[in-house]
Order: sequence, then structure tokens, then C-alpha cells
Amino acid sequence: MIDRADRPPRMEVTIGRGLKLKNPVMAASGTFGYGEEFARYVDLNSLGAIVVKGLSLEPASGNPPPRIMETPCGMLNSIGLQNVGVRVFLAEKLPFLRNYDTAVIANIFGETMDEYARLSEILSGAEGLKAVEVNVSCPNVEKGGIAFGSYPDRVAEVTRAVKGSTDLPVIVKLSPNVTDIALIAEAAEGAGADAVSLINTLKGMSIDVERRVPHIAKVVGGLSGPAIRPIALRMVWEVVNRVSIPVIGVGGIVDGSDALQFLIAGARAVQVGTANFMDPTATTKVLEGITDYMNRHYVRDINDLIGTLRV
Amino acid sequence: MTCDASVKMPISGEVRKNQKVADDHYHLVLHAGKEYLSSSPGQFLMIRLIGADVPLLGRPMSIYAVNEDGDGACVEVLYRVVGRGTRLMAQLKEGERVGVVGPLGKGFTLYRDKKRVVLVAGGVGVAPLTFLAKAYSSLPKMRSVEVVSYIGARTGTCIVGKGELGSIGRVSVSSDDGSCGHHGSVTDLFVRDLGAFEEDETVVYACGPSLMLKKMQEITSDRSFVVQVSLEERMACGIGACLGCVVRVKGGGYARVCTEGPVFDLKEVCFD
Repeated sequence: MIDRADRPPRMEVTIGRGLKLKNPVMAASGTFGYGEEFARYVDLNSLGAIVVKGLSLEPASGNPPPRIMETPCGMLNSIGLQNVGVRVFLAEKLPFLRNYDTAVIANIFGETMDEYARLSEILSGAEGLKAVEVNVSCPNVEKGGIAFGSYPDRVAEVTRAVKGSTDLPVIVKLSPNVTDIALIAEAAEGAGADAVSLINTLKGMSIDVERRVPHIAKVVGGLSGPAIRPIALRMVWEVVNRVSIPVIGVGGIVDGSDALQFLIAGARAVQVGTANFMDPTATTKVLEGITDYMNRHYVRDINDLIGTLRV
Repeated sequence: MTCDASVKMPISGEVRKNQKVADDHYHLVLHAGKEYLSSSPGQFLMIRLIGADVPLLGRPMSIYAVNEDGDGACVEVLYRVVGRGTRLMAQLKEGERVGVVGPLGKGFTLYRDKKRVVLVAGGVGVAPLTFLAKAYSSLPKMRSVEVVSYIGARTGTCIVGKGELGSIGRVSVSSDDGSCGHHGSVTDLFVRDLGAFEEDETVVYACGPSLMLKKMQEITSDRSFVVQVSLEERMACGIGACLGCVVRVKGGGYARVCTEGPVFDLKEVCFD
């Protein structure tokens, strides 16, 4: 007789073509640095994937402070995509991550179609890189500064540009600041995206009434944290019902139960973001919570749980 | 390489004491791991209420004192109740657990060749400077070092740390409302005595509100003192990942207060 409960549950998931993760828990871009900041607190080998801080062609110094503000169950940020640039990432940051047995995913952003294409090309041959995640929430300088992610045709164009420049699996990270996020997801799928991740931050604002100034220097920032979780979950639910490529759920996930909501709704994997700021060991705790749940419910394979919402 | 599954830094501690020491000011003592025994003055902790979505994030707090305690360390901080997060923190009881990440950041540089250490503290800025004063007074062969402290607060009932710094050296106090000591800013006291401080024999340390530090920069701009300051900024993570706590530095660009700081040479900082 085989006592099945003695074996650890199978946690491996496949995100589209060629991206296998040892488990569905990823660290979200912009909340986990380049991994090294968390190595004292988390066994990086235990993570399904690390999505590194968004990369641009050239280093970016970011926005003036104040850049962050805590809000009810969440936080606003306007970091301005400060980053070391793609070349420094490849030379100085990626070698450290190669020491770990975890998938490294490069998040990229540009202000023109050409920048997206060139970034993907540069990253294409990088040893140890498993996928590219495309941030389409930044302003398009060629189109009056309106975010690429706001229009289906722009998202399709960016997706095609990236797909045409790399053989790596391409994940398109969707902005929630749109009327119908599933329409945007369909556009990404139609243009060849291997997966979509959602949601990026929601636009928000906060004011210091004593001084009558915004809490964030750039006035408007991106809201993240548990405050946005129900919105993220609703959007993931809408998108899994409209596309057939894998969906990665992101938004306010703090513990195993939060992550399970996204997986049961149909997300193939999840990303832990703001929770890394609250507690540097958050990713570990999310993974432990999922495993505990699976043991309690005799779920032997995580894939048996994905998309099992009873409605 | 650190690519193994070795034991990782613990991230919680137990409240030993959380006592009001002045109006709006609390003294929090935590029992935490022995890694805190290597804390240096100027370093800080991120302290967070466990299991709460409000406040969501930890609050950065400078280390006030560290002592051996059984198999670990007692880490102490001083904080002022300024908003919802610290108001909830003031309700912590002995025995409760809190999230604590640290020791973090780059601390003060100790100059062993100086004859005089001048400390300029605004409000709870006195905490890291007290830790520093003790570090100086316990250095071997440092008995000849004179520690001169200036402490300023909004009002007399908010002044903290006077007794401890007074046991190490001379202390002058100021209050914005004149209820205690000099009526005005703590930087006035520093300016009053400035002429008596030889630049090559004196090192100056300051911690307090950014307006106070900006004033210190103006006062010392044409002097060759070494002046180190500990900066405060809103932080999300405290460990260099969120890039939320930056300050503009001379020569362009931003530095993270949590990682490149919180201690900076005053002449390197741009106050916008």
C-alpha cells in the first residue's frame, strides 16, 4: 500500500512554451531587487521564479522623492523605474542569480517600440535567463505619452516587437488601468504572447492636507498591496475566461490563502510583490501556505487545483 | 557563495518593554537574535506589527542601544507617535511578537583621532546619537574625548535622552516654545558655541528633521568640519529593494537612505 500523503505534493507548473517552474510562487518585478537583497532572508532556490526589477536600455535614475506613501492596506509608489540598465544587469547582477536553481525572468520596459525590440535582442542570448516579462504600463513617447498598455493594438505591436527579437518565452504584464483588461489580454495572445501576468499597479493618489501637497512628488502613483487583491482576482478571473495562454496572478498576495484564490480562479502561477516589503520572507510563507493547504486537502499535484473554482 | 539553503536571518522579536518616556515618545525594548550584538551606531531596524494590514509596512527606527540578553540581544529604539502606524505601535504589550528586520544600513564613522565629538539632536534623533556617544565613551584610550550634546524638541515635555547624554558630557537643550532651555532651534545652540570648536579636532554628528539638517548644512558649509548626519525617509522594505527612500546626492542621482545611508556626510546631501 502506498501512503500518498508521505510524499510532498507535486508543485511544478509550466508557463507556456518552455518555461517550467519548480513551483508557482514567483517574486514580482520591482519588489525583489535583483534577488541579492533577499538572499539573507530567503533561500532563493526555493522560489519558482524571480522577476527582476524592470530593465531599460540605459540606466535610469528615477523620480524625485517622496516616492512612496502607505495607504489603507496598501501603498502608493512612483519610483520612476529607476534601474541599472540592461548591460549592467547582464554584467553585474545576473551572474549572482546564476548560482541559484530558480528561473530568472527579466522584466523590460521602453518608451518606443524599438527600445522593446532592442532590449529583448540583448537579453536573448543571456545564459541563465528563462523568460522576458514585458511591462506595457509605461508612457509611449512617440504617441503623446499614453501608456502602451492602454490600447489593444499597441499591446499587440509591442508583443510582436518582442517576440520577433527573442526566442525566450514572452510574458506580457498587463495594466489594470483600462476599461476591459481581457480585451488587452486577447490582443497579447493574438500577437503571440506565451503568457500574461496581471495586474500591475492601479493609479492612485494621496494628499497631505496639512500642507496641501501630494504625498508623492509626481502626484499620481501606483497602488499595490492587499487593497488591490479583490480587483486583481476579478481581473484574473475575467482574463482566464477569455484567453487560452497561461495567466499569472499578481496583486496583494501576502499568504498562501491569497495565492490559492488566484490559482483556484485559474492562474497558473502567482507573483508576490508588496508583501516582500512587509516581510522579506513573504515568498517562503506563501509557498508554505500552499503546501500546507495541499496536504490538508489531499491535493497531490498543484495542477489539479488550478482553475477549479466552483461557480 | 551564499547559494545554499543555510539558516536565514530571523525576522521577529519579542517585546520586553514599551514605555512612554515623554509626551508622544516611547522607549521600545525587543528581545531578538544575537546578530544584533554587531549593530553599529546609526544602523536601524524595520519594526512591523505582525498579522496586520494596517499598518502595512514596517517603520524604520534607529537603534538606541543594544545589550546581550541570554542567548540573544536586547535591542532598544525610541520613537515618536506621528501617525497611525506608530499610534498602534504604542499599544504593544510585553510578550507580544513583532516583525523586526535588522540591523540595517550604514552607520556613523567613529573618528579616533578627534578630541571633541559634537552631537546635534532634534527630537527622537537623539536615539542614534546616544548609541554613538556610548560607543565613543567605551573606546579604549578615549577618556580625553569631550562629548558635547545639543538636544532640541518642540516643547520641554518632549525632550528625551538628556540624562544619558548628560552622564557622558555637557548637554544643552532648546525648545521651540521656550518651555525648556533655549527658546528656539537646537542649531542656534550649535552656532553659539561653534567658534570654540577647532575644525581639525572636532567631529560633528546630527540627526533630526530635514529642515534642521538643512540648517546644519548652511551653518557648516564654509567650515571644514567632518559632519555626518543620519537621514529619515519613508521606507517600504529597508533592505534596498523598493527604491522608495532615496535622497538626492551631490554629483547627480539618488542614494537609498536604507542602504547607502542612513548616515551620510552632510556635504554629500542635497536638500530639495
